[in-house]
Amino acid sequence: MKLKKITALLLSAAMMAGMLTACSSGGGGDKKYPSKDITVIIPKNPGGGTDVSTRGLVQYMQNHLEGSNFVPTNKPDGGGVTGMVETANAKADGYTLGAVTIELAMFPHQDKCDVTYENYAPICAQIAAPAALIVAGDAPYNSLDEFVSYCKENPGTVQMGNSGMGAIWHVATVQMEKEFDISVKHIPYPNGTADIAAALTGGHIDGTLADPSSFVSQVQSGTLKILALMADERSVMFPDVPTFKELGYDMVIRSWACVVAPKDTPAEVLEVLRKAAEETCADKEYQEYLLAQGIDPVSIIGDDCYEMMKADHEMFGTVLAELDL
Amino acid sequence: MNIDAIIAAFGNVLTPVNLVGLIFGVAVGIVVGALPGLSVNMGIALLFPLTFSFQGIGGILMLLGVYCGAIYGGSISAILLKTPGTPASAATTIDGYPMATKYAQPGRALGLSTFASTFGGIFSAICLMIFSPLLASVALQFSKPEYFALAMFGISIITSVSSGSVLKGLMGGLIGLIIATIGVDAMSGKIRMTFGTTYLLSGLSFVPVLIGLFAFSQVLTSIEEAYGEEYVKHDIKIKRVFPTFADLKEVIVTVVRSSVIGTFIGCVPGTGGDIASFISYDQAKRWSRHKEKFGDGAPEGICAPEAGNNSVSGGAMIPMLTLGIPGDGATAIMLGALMVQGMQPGPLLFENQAPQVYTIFLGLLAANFFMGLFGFSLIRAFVQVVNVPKKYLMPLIFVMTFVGSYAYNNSITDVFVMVGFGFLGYFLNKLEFSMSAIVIGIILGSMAEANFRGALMMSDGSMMIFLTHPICAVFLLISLISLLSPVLGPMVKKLRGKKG
Amino acid sequence: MSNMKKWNYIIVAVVAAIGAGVIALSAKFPITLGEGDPGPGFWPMLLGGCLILTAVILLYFNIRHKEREESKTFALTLPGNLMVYRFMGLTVAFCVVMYVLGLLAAAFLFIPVAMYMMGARGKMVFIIDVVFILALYVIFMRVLHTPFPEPIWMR
Repeated sequence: MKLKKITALLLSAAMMAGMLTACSSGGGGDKKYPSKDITVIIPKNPGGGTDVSTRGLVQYMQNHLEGSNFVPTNKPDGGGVTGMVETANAKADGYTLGAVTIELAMFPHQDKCDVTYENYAPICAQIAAPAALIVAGDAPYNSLDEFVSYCKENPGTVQMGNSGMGAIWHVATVQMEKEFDISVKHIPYPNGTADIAAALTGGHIDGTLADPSSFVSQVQSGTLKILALMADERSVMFPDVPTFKELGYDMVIRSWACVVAPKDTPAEVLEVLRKAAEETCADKEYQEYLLAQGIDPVSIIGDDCYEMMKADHEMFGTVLAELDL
Repeated sequence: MNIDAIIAAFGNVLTPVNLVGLIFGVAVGIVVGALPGLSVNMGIALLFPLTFSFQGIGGILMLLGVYCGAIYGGSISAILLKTPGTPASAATTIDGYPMATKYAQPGRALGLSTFASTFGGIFSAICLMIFSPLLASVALQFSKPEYFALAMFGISIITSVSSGSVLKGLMGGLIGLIIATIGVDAMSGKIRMTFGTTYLLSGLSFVPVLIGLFAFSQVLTSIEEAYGEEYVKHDIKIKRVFPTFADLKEVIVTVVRSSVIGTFIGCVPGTGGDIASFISYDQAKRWSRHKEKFGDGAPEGICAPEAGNNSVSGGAMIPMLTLGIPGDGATAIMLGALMVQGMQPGPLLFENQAPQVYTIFLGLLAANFFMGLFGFSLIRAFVQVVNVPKKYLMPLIFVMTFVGSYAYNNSITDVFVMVGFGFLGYFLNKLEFSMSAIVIGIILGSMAEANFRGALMMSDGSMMIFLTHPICAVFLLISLISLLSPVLGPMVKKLRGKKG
Repeated sequence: MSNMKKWNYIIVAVVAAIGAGVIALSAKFPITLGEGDPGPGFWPMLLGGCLILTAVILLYFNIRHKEREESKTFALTLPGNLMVYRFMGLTVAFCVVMYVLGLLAAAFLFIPVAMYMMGARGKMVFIIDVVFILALYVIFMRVLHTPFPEPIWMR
């Protein structure tokens, strides 16, 4: 009696395992790509800039790629490294994609991560938020130059918030110190830019260099103001804010996230994905979705994306070594 | 008083589609909250895509429903299974489970918790409507010294929450604090105690540890208790689901106090229901006339954390709506949802978009109302869980702990961590350690350390900063007294005794 | 029957070791990093030190209140405990099977075995098993799109 029961149990488990394999594939009889669900591994927590922009991109991409169904999955373990590594090691058949963030360009130099941009074939960048110099609305300085002179007159006392020592916005602030020959106090807010917004609004710090999306409502109401942007061009959301470049300082630092595929993904698959991504980035609805969240729409596809990742990787290599971070 | 806006708001909330969405959200929220491992934030993130199918602000109403429902739902499994469904209900297990099992009054426990949750939620919604600007400006006063003091206050509660030995509670708390240091140190960028693994770079995931220490260890303990036990079907006739007048009289002060605490903590950005529930529990115990009953089914012990955690809902929306700064993780996601709908939370919101603001107010009130309705009407059903034979129930809960710890971060390592802490928790419980103490340490560890060091960075190393900030100094003093009270109390009594 | 006094000594040893370990691991960090920050080593070392302090106090109490601690007994080897240990073994097996076959298949196998160990017999076991697994599958994989660990051949 018992043996019969055990055999029955094992058979059903095997059946079940088989059923699950079949079901998850989603009926892959048709050979045209995509013929089943595409997993997108997001190495960050839900609700943040990376998560929102990635989910937005793949959701709108579904309208531009027939038969596609993207399933975003959050894997924020290990500071995002686990998720990025998993994407790099996934089967290169185009059914597993992932997002990689600016940390990919920084972590390898800090011994936190074994993969680099070379492990991926990028599709497109869904967000490339520039560092914005944000200060209190009633501060005595109204432009980058005024701010810099204020810092020179008060060395070591201006408090600049960042999202963590050794993280991107801290690096941006240190670069700024070097470029202008000033010295400020770095105050880390490890729980993210929302805390920096609170501290800035409450008058506990004097300024920050960070991604402007967490500060949109304060800037629009005048509580805070943006003095300059470290970007190549002016932002659509803040058209009156000059870029560092315009003012004569060649500083471009962005926190980007790109949707990528594992390195050896077949070229035809990449072609299809990149084309769909390009159409999506030009899609008005998608752009409005991003703007509503305080994210500037960008359109950096394929090889451009690769170049950006490579350039930043090399930039951080030198910068981090100099700063001993 | 913008009458047109209020009328428009009523219209919004009462639109059939929106109302159904709201009720659906509450129901989903309660289920998500009751299942250990599925958190409030997860529930909101999961339903977020659905908000696009709604016209205008309807989707937000659904999210409000999920928010309130999930915080409440955690108490159901906390009381019936000693397994908090969400971290904010961990404190509810302390008195909820004994009342439900030892004293065989699960209906009374659930009734008290539903009442407290609904009261807290509505209280905070009213505060949101009337006191937003005032509370928001208080919240803005919080800088690093204040956060440090708040964290220390939370940590000092360890001594009061430790039902076993106070000393071992301290040990547990310290271990929790140490666990919180694992990972990348955000203040310096250095890596601490990760033993070279990638997994530990962001520290030990909190929710799997919580599920292990509370839920999994409880499964093991129940298995031990169930061995050889005769199955006894409790004849639980629920005569009334709403708490009796006597009960209400006993708990009302606690409920109001806890609601104040929760609303306030909610509106301080970066703090949430878990901290609020523990502080409310501690304060309730401190001021209660029946201190000894705490830990053994005290009604106040159930009402305090539940009122505390649900009142965070309205509190957290205060800074989100008035300043555009989320009060906790869930409101951060909702902030995104609001922005997609074209709302600009922040100083201009009340001026430019009054109808939407009032819709949110009404929506929050309605969500709490339906949450209470669902809660009370389902008590009779929930209570039957106590009658399910353990031999059927335990294996299912066992599987759920695995499901919950995996669903949290899609990480198998999290599951193994959960199991490890589950085994550990089983033995620690026997050895008089307090799981709540360990959990408090883990929750507050990074907040305490990061803000301590951050404050010193702001003051260039001067410790005076903690004394020159008044709010900070006050909290630190209270924490010191709180921490030392188990020792000072008996000493003071002795001195009085000698004199007399 | 085991008593608390004996185990308190063990606790003292283990906790003191943890405290010492933490101090050792954190000592290599600089104590001051300039700019007022006491450094990443400060806090863990403080905690480690406090932990050792509590271990010492526990040792003192354990000796001072010998009889009281000895009277606190709890079971470690009763049949009830043995059942728990068997379940712990079952848990480890479950983890392995889950890694190989995926969560749902492992749970499908596990539930009847666990219920059987706890004394359940009969058709009810299989009915609950199938319904539960089906519910998990539908709710989590189809509705919520939260995947479960998959069989090893799918990775």
